[in-house]
Amino acid sequence: MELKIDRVTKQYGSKIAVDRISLTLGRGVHGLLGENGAGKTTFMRMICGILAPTGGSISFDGMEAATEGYRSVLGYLPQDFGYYPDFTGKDFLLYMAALKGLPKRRAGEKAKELIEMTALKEAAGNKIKTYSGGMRQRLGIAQALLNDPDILVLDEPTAGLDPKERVRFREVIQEYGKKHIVLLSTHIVSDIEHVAGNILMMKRGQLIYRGPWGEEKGDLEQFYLKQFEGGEE
Amino acid sequence: MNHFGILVKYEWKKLLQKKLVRIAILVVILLQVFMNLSFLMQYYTSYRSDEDGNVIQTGGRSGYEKLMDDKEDAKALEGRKVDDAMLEEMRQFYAEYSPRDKYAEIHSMVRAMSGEESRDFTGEELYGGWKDNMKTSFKSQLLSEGEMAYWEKKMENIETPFTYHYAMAWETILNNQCAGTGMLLVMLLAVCLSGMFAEESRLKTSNLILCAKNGKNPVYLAKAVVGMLFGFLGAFVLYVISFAFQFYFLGTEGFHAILQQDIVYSPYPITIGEAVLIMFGITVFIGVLESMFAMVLSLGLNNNLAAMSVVVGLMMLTFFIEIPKRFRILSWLWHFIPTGILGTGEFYDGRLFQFLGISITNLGFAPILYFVLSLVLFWVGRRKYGKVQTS
Repeated sequence: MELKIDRVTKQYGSKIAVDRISLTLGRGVHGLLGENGAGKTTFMRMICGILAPTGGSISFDGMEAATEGYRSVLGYLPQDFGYYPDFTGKDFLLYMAALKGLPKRRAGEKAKELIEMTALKEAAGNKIKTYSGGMRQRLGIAQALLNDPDILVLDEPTAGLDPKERVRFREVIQEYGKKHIVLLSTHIVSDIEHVAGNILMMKRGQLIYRGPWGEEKGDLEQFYLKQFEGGEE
Repeated sequence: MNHFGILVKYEWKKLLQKKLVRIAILVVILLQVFMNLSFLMQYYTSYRSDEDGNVIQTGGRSGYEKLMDDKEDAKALEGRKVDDAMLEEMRQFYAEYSPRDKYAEIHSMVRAMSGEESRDFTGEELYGGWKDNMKTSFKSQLLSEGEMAYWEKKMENIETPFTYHYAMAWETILNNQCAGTGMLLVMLLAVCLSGMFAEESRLKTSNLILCAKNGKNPVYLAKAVVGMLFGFLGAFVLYVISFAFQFYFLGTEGFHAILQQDIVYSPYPITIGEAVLIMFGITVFIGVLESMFAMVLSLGLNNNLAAMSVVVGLMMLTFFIEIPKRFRILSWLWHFIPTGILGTGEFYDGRLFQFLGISITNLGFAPILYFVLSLVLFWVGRRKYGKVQTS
C-alpha cells in the first residue's frame, strides 16, 4: 500500500500553489501542517483527483489519480464540506454510498454503523439543514469512511468539533491509520501531534519538513510557529 | 436497485426538494389551467343597429354560456358538406339579424378561404379561389418549383368540398394551447434545470461527487436522464391539462376532421387530431432538447442564473426577430429554434428539407433535428463533465 507523489506542481498563472512535491506515503496517519495559503488544500485536492496537477504525477499501487480504480479506494472530507440541506443524514450517506459504488445491502449496514460511530443516530432521520456545525462535520467524516478507503484524506476535519468529539475523532483516526493511509491536514498542531506518526509541513507551496516527530525534537508547536514567524502571507 | 437507479432516485430528490423548482412547477401548472379556463372570465355583449342606425344592445352572455351556445351550434353542423347548398343556407341566415351566430364555424372558414367578407359566391368559386390563394401563398414563401409540385400533389388528397366535423376541443388546443404550452415548458425547464450542475458547485458537493467511484459518467448520465425525463414529463403533464379541460368542456369529437377546416391554407393532408398529436410530439422533443440545453449551459457557465437567462433569452429572441424568407437557409434554420415552430403558422410553411433525394417537411424534420441536437448536447456535456475540476 503506497501512495506515490512525484514532483507534483500546481500553478495558477504566475502563482505557484504547490511546488514540485515528491513523497511516498504508506500505512499510518500523516499530519499535514501549514498556515492558511500554504497550499495544503490544493495539494489534497490533487491527491483526490479533483484538481489536475500542472506537472508531476500521483498514483496508488500503480493506479493513476482520478482513474475509477483510484477513486474507488479514496475517502475525502473537504475543508468546506458540502451537503444537500434537504437530505436527511441517512439519505446523504446512502447517496454517497451509491456514488462510491457500495452494494445496496452493504451501504445500509455501513451507513448504520457509521451513524452510530459518529453519534448521529438520533438525528439520522432529520434534514441536514437542522444539524449543528459539529453534527455536519461528523456526517462529513462518516461519508469519508463509507467505502473503508485505503486512502483517507481529511482537510481540516476537526473544525467545528467540540473537545470531546475531537478526542473521539483522534481515536478513530489513529485506529484507522493502522491499516490504511490517512492524510490529515490542519493548522492546529495539537490535532495531529498525538495521532500522526509522520509530519509533513508546507510553506509557500513547498514541503519544508517531513518525517516522524519524537519528543527528543522538542515541542512541535514551537517548531511550527518558528517556521511561520512573520505571519501569513 | 443498482447504483445507477439509486443515483437517478437521488437526482430526482435533489431536483424536487428545491423550493424554486416546486414553486416553478406550481406556477406553470396554474398558468396552464388559467390558459384553458380564461374563457370563463369573458363576457359577450351583442349589439345591432336599428332602422335609424342607432346601436342597440340586444343581450349578454357569460364566456361559459357563449362557449356552450357555440358548441351546440357547431354540433348542429356535424357532417355537413360545405357546398353550394350550405353557402346558400348561410347567406339566408346572415340576411337577418340573429343573436346567435349559428354558422360561425363555417363562416370563419369560408371567410378565410375567400379572403373576403362577402358570402356571394358558389362552391366552385370558393374552392377555385382557395386553390389559387394556396399557390399565391407558396410563391410568397419563395418555394421552389419542386416544393410547389410536392405540395400540389399532396393537396390532391384533400377532398373538396370540405365536410365539416365538430372538432372544437382539438381546434382550441391547436390554435390557443400549443404555442403557449411550448413557452411555459421552456420557462419551466430554464428555471428548474439551469441549476442541475451549477448547484453542485454552489453547495460544494462537487468535491465529494467528483472523487467518488461513480462520480463521473454515472452521475452525468443520471443527471441527464432525470433532466430529459423532467422535460418529457413536463410536456406530457401540460398537454394532459389542456386535453382534460378542453375535452371536459367541448368533448372529444372531431379527431378526424380535416385540418383545412381550421387552418384553411395548410397544404398538409392530415386531420386536426393528427395536427395536435404532431404538435404534442414536437413539444416532447423540444422538452428533451431544452432540458439538455439548460443542463449543458449549467455545466459550462457554472451559474444557474446565467444558464436560465440564455435559455429564456433565446426563446424571447424568436418572438421579436423574424428572419425574412429571402434569406432562405438562415430563416429556415432560425424558425426551428424552439418554440417558434409551435405556432399554427407552421402548418402553412411549405419549405422542405431534401435529404438523399427524400423531401422532408418541417414538421417531419423538427423531431429529427431536435433528437440529433439533444444527442450532440449530451455528448458535449459528457466531455465537459469529464474535464470538470474543483476550483
